[in-house]
Amino acid sequence: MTSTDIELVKLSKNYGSTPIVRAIDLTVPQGEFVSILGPSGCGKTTTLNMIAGFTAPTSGQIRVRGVDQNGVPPEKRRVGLVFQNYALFPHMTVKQNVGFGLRMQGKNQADIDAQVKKALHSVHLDGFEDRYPKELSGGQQQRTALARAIAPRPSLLLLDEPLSNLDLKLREAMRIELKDVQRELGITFVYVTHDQEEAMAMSDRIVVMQESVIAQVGTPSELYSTPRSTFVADFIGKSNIFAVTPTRAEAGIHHIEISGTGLELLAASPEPDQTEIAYCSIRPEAARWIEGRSRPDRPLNILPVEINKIVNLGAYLEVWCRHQSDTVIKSLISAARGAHLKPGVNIELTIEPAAIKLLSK
Amino acid sequence: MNQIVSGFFWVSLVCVMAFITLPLIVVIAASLSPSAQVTLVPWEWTIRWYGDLVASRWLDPFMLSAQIAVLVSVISGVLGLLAAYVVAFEKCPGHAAIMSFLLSPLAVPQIVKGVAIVLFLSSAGLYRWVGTPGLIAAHIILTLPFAVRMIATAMFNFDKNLDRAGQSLGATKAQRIRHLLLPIIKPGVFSGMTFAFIISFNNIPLSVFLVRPGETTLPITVINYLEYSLDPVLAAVNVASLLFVLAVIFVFEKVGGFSAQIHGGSK
Ligand SMILES: Nc1ncnc2c1ncn2[C@@H]1O[C@H](COP(=O)(O)OP(=O)(O)OP(=O)(O)O)[C@@H](O)[C@H]1O
Ligand SMILES: [Mg+2]
Repeated sequence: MTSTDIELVKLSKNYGSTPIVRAIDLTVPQGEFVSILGPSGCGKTTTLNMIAGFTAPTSGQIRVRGVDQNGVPPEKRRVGLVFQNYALFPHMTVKQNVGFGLRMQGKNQADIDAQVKKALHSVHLDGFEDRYPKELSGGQQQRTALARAIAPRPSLLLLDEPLSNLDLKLREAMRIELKDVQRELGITFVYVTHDQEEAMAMSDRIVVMQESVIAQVGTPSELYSTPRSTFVADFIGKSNIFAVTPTRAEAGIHHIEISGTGLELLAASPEPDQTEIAYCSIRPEAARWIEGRSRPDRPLNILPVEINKIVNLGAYLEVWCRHQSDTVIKSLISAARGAHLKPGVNIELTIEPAAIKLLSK
Repeated sequence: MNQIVSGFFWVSLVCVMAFITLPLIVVIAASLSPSAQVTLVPWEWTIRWYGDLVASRWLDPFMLSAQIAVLVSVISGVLGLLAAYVVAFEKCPGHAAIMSFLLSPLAVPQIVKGVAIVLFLSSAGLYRWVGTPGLIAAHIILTLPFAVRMIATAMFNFDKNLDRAGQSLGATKAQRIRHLLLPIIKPGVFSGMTFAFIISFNNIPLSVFLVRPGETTLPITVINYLEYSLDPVLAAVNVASLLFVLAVIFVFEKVGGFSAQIHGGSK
């Protein structure tokens, strides 16, 4: 788990004069599941294609196990690939598809058969050997594509939105399977997705990309609890994001005013690294509804609000609460507790100062 | 209302089918005519005219036509494949223009081409090429655009991700062409070859300029014969050559599996 598998050093790609990927630095240790997460068009596929060798970087370096990959053709990189549209060979059976990489390496038939069997077993496709791709469901095609990529035992697997053509239920099941396969085989996964839930569920680390640059790298919980920008706060999970002006700071507590409302909040989170405070982010579950409790004598934000709207999310309600300053804060309340809440009802929201994240932009 | 509309479509279909098959039925009936004059009597027929077909007068031109068509088909397939690859994958300069240029031969009447070829051969001092070599070359000029277009279309439809998948699995370019590209575009290649075969086998307008006396192709022999007589033997020749072409299409289809492609199916 310690040795470095891939290193991206100042990796950049321009198409014409348009920068598509700008000076990306990233180190991925052997066996890690790292996701590249970002909105459509931010350069995820381009980055992946550079690692695979299909696209030459404009500048910067890609090292795989310490070896510079510049000029190494894709077929020599031994990097597995799983495509969004699976790209199964339509004229070959499942067995032939999965055995293709081994056959190209010149392995003998007995070895190929044994490894194909193993690969199919690890994706739960035993018994499908002789089907053609068009005789498989979307999920089975997806598994075949995965088996085909892992059968030659690459140390690195690149996956470009492999689950996005599947329906929600199957997608959720496949997340767990993918993660299991990855852990069992100890292969490094670089997983591209624009679905933050998917990235959160599977990854050891997430690289959040925003318009050709890395916005933040961290474990799922780091990104969730300490986003460094409004972009990350908004992209990872849900968030109440407000433009704020700091008024004063004492004893580690920042007094901030939500711009244009006069509502003052106390925030105890660290200051943003860059420049001054410009925004704050409050997770909906941090805006808690606490009934009949005496006021503690430590700093605490307590806001009397009126319920504006209730969105039922199943186990939870997303309750839109309006403060008299006209600030609307979304709060997450368990459906059981909030069963009797209705628009127009007045409640009190409590927000810990530590739960208010200060952001620069 | 819906029934009327749908009925209208059905009637149209029947008319189209009748229109296409009627000449065929007439020719078949004529070939079975009981007397040497073509007469159509439904309850009297004979197959004796087909016996005449083994005479060298018909058999020799048939063999020549078949040989030329096979050669034209194979050469068109090979050259078409190589040319299409460059157009579709190497993205040679002006590949889009080349694709549309390949349509233009359809705009030039074959008669004009025939004259041009004869003029070229005689002015280049290659008049001795008139005859079989000239026929093969001329037919290839005619069939190559079809072959290249059909094969290039198959290549354009080839999912580039398959090639990338092969590449990431360690396949070299030669391996990818052999194991991925060729098997997948095979139907396109075979449909191009089938077209080439049929165009060559049935060709009159070009061949008429290039055949040598005593060495004529089947369609030219038929035309020459027609000048003197219209009899059941001629009908029998036509039916037989039609059956031959159908058999060839059937065999090519079995080997190449292109019917789905021609019919617009996906796989
Ligand atoms: N060959 C190319 N020539 C010019 N521009 C390109 C090329 N390939 C990609 N781009 C541009 O680069 C940007 C990033 O593309 P990329 O495919 O990496 O996005 P992505 O993050 O994978 O998006 P998605 O989630 O939609 O797949 C896009 O704006 C795209 O238009
Ligand atoms: Mg993409």
